[in-house]
Amino acid sequence: MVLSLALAALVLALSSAREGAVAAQEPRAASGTIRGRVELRRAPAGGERPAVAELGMPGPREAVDRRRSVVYLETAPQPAFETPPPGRAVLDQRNETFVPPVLAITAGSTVDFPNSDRVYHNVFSLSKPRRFDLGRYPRGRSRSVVFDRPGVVRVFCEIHSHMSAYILVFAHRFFSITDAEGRYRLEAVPPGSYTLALWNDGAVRARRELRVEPDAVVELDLAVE
Amino acid sequence: MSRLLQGRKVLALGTGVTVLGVLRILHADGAEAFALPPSDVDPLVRRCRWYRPGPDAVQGVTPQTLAGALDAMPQGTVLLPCSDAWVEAVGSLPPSVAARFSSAVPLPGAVDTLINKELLAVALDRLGLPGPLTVAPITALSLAAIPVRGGDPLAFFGGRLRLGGEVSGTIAPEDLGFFNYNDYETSTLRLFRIDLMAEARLLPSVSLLFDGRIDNLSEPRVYALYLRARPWPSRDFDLQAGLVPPVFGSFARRRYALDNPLPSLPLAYQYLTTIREDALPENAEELVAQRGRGWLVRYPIGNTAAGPGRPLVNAERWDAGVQARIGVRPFSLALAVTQGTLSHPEFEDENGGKQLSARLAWTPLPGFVAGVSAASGDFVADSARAALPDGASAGEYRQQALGLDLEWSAGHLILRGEAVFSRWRLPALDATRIEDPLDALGLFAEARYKLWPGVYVASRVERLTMAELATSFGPRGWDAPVTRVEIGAGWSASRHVLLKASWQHNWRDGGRVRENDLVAAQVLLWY
Repeated sequence: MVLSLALAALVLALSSAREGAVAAQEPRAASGTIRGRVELRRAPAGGERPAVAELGMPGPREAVDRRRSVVYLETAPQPAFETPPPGRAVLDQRNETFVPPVLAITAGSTVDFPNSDRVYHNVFSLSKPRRFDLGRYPRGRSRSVVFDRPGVVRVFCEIHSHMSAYILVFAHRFFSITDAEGRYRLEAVPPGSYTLALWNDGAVRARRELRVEPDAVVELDLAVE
Repeated sequence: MSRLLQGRKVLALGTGVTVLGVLRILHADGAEAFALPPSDVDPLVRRCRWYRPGPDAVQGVTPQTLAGALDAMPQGTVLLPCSDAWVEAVGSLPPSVAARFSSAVPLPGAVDTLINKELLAVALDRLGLPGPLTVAPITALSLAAIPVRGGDPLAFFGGRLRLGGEVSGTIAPEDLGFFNYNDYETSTLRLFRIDLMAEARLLPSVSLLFDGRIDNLSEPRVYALYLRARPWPSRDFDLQAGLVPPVFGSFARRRYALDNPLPSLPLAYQYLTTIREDALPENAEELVAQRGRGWLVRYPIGNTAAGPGRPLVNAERWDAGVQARIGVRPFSLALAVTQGTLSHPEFEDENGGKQLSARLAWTPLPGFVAGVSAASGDFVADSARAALPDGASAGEYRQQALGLDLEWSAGHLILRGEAVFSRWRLPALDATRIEDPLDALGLFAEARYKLWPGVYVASRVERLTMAELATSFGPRGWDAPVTRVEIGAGWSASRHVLLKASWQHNWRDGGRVRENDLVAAQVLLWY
């Protein structure tokens, strides 16, 4: 068990450094898999505040990718909620955009906020699970925040009101951020009955009840209406 | 209900106030309604005039023991559960017992669905029926996952039309010295403002921008309305035409309540001096006599009605004209030709003259901006000029200004400072003639420091001085100098709600009220 946790921690750390998510897990014996695809049927909201007081047009900025969803288990038997190992993730500030716009981590994880822009940024959050304000810092500098409590943390830049991102902090490890094609995959899910939740762009968009059998794969496609 | 239950025995199952309501309704409708024995119900129910205790057989009955207790109840009694637990109990009665009584409760599975709001939400979703957003608080994430939208502007037509806005309410005691009044004759510290901003992208490189305001629920007014174009997308060069943002200085473009750490405006951008473009003093004595009364001055030439004077730079109005901005890192240069002047921006030209203004900004490193500004424009309105003698009416009566603005920020600290020097020339008519230019210098320094996330303290120190003018009783400042110190704090209750409070002290070397203290509070909602 100890070896399994250590291996899981290593996998989590590696995956967070690569993808900014820490959902991957070593499959367990007799555990199941939930996978599927998320279809976006609603136009993502977005845009900026009208820049009426500016003397010129805003510079080119990367469009915020609001297509990324997070699929996670909302209910699970108690044994499924073992204390997850903390990870490390990166939320970059690039072209006046947070990259990635959605980050999913386990409680206790650390998120680094490097500034890759020529201009200052001031990352802050007033969300209850984690209030913080990193102050202004220039290109090449980075500051970090540890997220101890589960919940949704909305992150903003005080200087650029159009910049925003979400950090979803989970008390367990059963979550997955959809890839560019909308695919998700939850592995090593203990057998049992669950509620699977789909989160997109600030809200839970769908819930489905399902049952995972030992060594079985549950295929479940979801849609954001 | 009355026709169904009239003359029938009804047993209201429950202990609290719901039973009370049920007994009252049934009694009024002629039913024979009973409740549980006195020892099992609230005193409130017991003391009710419609209270009738049920048979002893049901004494001490609980939802779990209901089936056994009903053995002694007469057949045909209507069971009326008055709480979720009793509904579940009646719905779960064994068929042999349930058949002897009348009740209108759902089947046990349906009861579970109705009681469990999460199941109800799922059922409504499956049936395609609309329902409230329901989040089961099973995990902390579930609670936190309640939609936290906001921060995003309202966007329509695929983002081509975007709306934003501010609603602010500022309250303070009456400003008897008129230190905070603007040329709309309202105090900036006693102001309810609704501000709507819109940006419509007409073409990929052309936008139409609008800003409309309602102050103290008066007539709406247009604050900004202009076209913005970037003719060469690869170059940092923009053109704007219409009612455009001022290029002079820094504060006038960050004067939205959200961008201002304190409720008040700096003196250089708001304080009303004794100069008017539509009314002129005949001599220096008349001008000096108005010292410290800029909120309401009266002169004999031009518009003879009393009216407010003008600030050095008016942050409450924008000017109509065209402007261009070009950026070559680390510099940015903005030039504008507009109808009015810094003191009196205009939508319609009042004197046929134009103002030329410019600002050069230098950003050598992130967090530091230095800007120098200059402006020159015809100040005196034709209506006042028409009242002048022939020799004087042909003169050039301009407002000229120079500005320096600095901003430095790092970590949780922002420091800002501005200097605005303004010079007006007015006609020299009778002795003592106003031959020297009327100079004024406004200085302010401002600091904001964040203590905790969402909480900051801020302060502004400022001074507005006027040059001396020769009069028959010696040299006098043409208006009374003013000094202000303001300290305050702000708290972001949420992303879109900002509360500010401040205390300010004003000193003035002239006027009826020479010194005052004001405490102000501001609530700001923005999106």
